[in-house]
Amino acid sequence: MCGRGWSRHSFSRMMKNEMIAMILAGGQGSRLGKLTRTIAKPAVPFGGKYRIIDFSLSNCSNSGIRTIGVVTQYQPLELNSHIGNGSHWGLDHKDGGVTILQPHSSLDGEKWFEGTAHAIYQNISYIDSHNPTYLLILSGDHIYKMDYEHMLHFHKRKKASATVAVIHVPLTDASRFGIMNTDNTDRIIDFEEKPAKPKSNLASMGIYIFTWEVLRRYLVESHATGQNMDDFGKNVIPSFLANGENVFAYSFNGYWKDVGTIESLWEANMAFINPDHELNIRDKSWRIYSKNPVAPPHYLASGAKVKESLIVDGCYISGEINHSIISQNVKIGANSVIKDSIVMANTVIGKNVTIDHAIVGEHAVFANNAQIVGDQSIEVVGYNEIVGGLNDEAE
Amino acid sequence: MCGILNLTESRLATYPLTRHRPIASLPFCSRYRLIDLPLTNLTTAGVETIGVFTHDNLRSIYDHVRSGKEWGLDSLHGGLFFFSDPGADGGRNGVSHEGDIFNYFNNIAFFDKSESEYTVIMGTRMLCNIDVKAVLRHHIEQGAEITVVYKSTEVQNNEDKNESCLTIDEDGHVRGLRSCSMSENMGQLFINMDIYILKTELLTKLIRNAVAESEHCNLNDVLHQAIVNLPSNGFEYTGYLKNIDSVEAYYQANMDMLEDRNMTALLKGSQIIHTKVKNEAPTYYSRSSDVEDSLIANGCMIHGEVSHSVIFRNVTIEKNTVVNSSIIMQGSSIGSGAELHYVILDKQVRIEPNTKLVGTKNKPIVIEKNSVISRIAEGLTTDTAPLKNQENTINTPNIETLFSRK
Repeated sequence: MCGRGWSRHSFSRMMKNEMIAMILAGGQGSRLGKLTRTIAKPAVPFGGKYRIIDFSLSNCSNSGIRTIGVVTQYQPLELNSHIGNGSHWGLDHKDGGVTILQPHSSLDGEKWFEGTAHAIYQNISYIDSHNPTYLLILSGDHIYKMDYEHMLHFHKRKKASATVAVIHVPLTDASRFGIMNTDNTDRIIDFEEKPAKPKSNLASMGIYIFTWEVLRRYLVESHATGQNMDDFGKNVIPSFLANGENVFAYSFNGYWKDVGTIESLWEANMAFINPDHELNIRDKSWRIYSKNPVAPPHYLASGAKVKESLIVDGCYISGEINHSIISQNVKIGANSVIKDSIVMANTVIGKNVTIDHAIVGEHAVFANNAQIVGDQSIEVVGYNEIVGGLNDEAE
Repeated sequence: MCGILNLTESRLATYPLTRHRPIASLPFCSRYRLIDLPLTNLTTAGVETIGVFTHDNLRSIYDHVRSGKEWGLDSLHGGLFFFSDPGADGGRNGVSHEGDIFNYFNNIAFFDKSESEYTVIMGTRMLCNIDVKAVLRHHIEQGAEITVVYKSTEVQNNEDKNESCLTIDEDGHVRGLRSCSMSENMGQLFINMDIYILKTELLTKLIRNAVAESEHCNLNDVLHQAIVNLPSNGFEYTGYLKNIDSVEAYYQANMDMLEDRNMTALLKGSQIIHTKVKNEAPTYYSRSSDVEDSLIANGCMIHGEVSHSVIFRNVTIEKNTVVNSSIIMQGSSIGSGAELHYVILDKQVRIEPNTKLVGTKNKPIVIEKNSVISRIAEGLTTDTAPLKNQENTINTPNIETLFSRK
């Protein structure tokens, strides 16, 4: 697991618990419809062999962060079993490692997380037990590669209390994001949540570094005075600005995608097929790790036709695959045609099946001759769904 | 039950693939190593303590197996233990003139400490997927001193090889052991798979006795004698078996996996074979790719034509190439316009553009690890391999063996 990461890891041992990360993975992602009915959005499969949260976890691992709390709430089962003890990301350290933090009840009452910052407040004792100088807040919802150590250097250099990672978005899209207005030293002077008339195009990526001592004080004091401090974007950052704290914007220039809707998830996957994709998934110096189930190599039978596609271990393919992503252990029968689609793991597809412009959930079954064609919008077949007649059930 | 992986297997027969690695480390079927099979068989049967005995340098085995985590061997109980005796006579070929018995004798404390009633002994040369628990049940039910696993096979008259064969009577008792030439014998043969189950106590006794007689021998020789002299039973294995005793057998075993029934029997049937997990991206097939009847691992970039081949991880196959009936190991790359038929490329081989290599089914061309092969001459085949342009090939050890004649 070390290899090229050796120098990074020995360095990280030096910085030890200077910064720990909290990944907010409790989001429901309701706009993903069927795909998040039974699993949390961070656990949604991506790119054939990853889940969305793999990107944040791998970034942490590659950035030398050794202690990570993953805050879960909505449908955590799949997510918990995926993360396990973090060994798949090289995060099963003796000191720290990955800890799954779920809401729990206590003498003070129930503690469901009311918002991003509230979830951190509820886990103060976990953070304190690692005694970090800085706290990195991440969302488990985004596809990107980022070195958090660079951001920490920026945070220290600017002597900031809080640093918000921002990305340049087209001005026309800016009203969908939280927009930061900065001065010429990157200091944030104004923050607007989804502004109708955006003044800049610096959108918050939902990635924050806080000096823990400062954030802790805000969270504890506001709780004592009954002030609402539930959300980082809506409450914490505006409150920091109002009190004249040093809040800086850290510009990120790489690929970053919030796959919040079916369309954006499909588009991000389709773009991911391209070997020249900006994410550079084959770059060995910044690998994206995942939990890899054991499966034999995939087999393309005589008669198989695979063009411009990604295929993963364990598949058995007799049909025609065109510009699609096929995940682990998928079986595709003869004369079936898969086009511009994503087929998630363990799906069985019979013969003469047509799938076009669709996202197929894990463990789905397609009977012979079944057809799923997305016309105006992307068709979604849910997990374990069965498509097609029962009379000629696929082998 | 305690397990022994007996890796003092001769490497000579599978040269040059085993010039720098033991048979146990031979890459197999796109993502495995031969050692994965016995390791999985043992752990699936609930064996928690496994001793790996070898004369070889352990690096490639240890690098692959590590703590045994992938096989669930990194637990509180038992685990993997390595016993290497490279001093014997350099361990150059995996065998030593002095035999391996002293390695077992010197580490006999391992057997005593394991506190297991039974010990199972396996190697890696006999490629199989066996239910070790069933062998143990058979052993206990039959009440024999030693149970030896065999495969019953009909001899194909054209095979030119020797096998160690058992004589077994109608009741399943072992009556004899002999080496038989497959070309001379016809009919039913019981091939000895060198998999044994016996009481740990008996095994240590056999090892001590052999050393007391101060004969230089191998554990397998001791067991061969014992199954004839002590009441022993045969257990018939009915699954897929290949004796990896030559490059051709190794090639054939890989090609066999292209047939789903063989692959299911060996790798994904009742026991799914575990191996070291790597984080590779999915394999990309471009618009110009054309792949049929092939096994392909993760992490590859395929732009060319591939048929009836076994491709390992991280292989790049450029446009306008033809790869047919070949085995391409991890990290190799094949330049555009190249053509390979019946070739085994070891790890990290680079085939320069427009190179043509043509072997035959019975004599596949083997290109050694880290070689760079450039275009040598127009229409080069195995029959016409000229050596005069050798300066074009960098780092290709012993070029004569690379282009073996039919």
